Amino acid sequence: MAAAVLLASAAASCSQSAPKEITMATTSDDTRDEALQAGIKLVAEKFPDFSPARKTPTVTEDGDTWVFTYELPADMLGGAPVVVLSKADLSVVKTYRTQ
Amino acid sequence: MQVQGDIGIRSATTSQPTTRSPAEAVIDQATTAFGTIDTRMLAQAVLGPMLAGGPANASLLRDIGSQLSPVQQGNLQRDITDTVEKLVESIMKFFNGLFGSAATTPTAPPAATLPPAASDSAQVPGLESIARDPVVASAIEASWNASNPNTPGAKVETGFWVVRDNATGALSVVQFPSNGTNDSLTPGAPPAIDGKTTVAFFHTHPNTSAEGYTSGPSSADQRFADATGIPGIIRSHDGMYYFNNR
Repeated sequence: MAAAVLLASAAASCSQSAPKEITMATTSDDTRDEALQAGIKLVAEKFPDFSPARKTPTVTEDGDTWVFTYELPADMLGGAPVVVLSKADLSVVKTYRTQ
Repeated sequence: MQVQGDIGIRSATTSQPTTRSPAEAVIDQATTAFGTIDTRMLAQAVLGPMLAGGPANASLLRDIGSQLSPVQQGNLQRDITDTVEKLVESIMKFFNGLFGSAATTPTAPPAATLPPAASDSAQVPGLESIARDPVVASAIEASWNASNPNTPGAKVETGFWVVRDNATGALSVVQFPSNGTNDSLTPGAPPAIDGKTTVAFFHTHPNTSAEGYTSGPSSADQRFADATGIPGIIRSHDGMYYFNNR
């Protein structure tokens, strides 16, 4: 499946740099982009100690939910907050952190 | 002519002579009537020549080890360690009998005890054997303590590379840089040391489920193992995790 590239201004504000390219799988469900924006906002609110610098916000599909997290650079071990959102109304199903 | 003569001699026999290597001969002797390998017998067979000295005996151990499964390798390591400990104990009893209190038992540092594998860890016997190596187990213990796993606010991921000496098989560690946060770490490139091979990497997961964290390898941990081609070991509050590169 071809990849679509979105410019996420919210991601740019989190990484304190110019607008950042985010690669996302193409989908007919247009709530994916809303999930991305919601995830960025929720992580900033719920996990203020987390620094998104050098990390890429991503959204993947898992059944009836969107799974938002940040992808670390390839040279880094570790984790990030994960926010699982309902596709239906973007309500938060659960949050957790990896390490 | 000489070659033809050699061929003539061999073809004159009813079957090809089979040459068994020293390692194969030892394994044959240690194979029971049921076809399984008794690693205690292997340990004794290896230790006898080793105690007599000589670098060739290290290569015998390496040759034997290369023909065993990871589980058998782990059992052999355990049996060799047990045999040596019993031997040292016997020697000390003998000298204590001769000299009374003048001979004292040497104080070896207590062996580090690894927690068991976490219930949701993959089972990777070869990696578990590496983690149980006394040098590696001690380094895991030290790294775990250095990550302040029971001090919220001071937790930091720490870790190291595990390298194997190509000649002796001995394991040692190369520490990661001290750049960890409570939930991330940047190890840099695997060490490139002449005569040594990097066989694993280890790091800590000091955060708890009560703090909202999962314990096992993250997607970044797995991606790092895949990219470096080196399997990983983790110590967490839930136990040890072992994961292969893919």
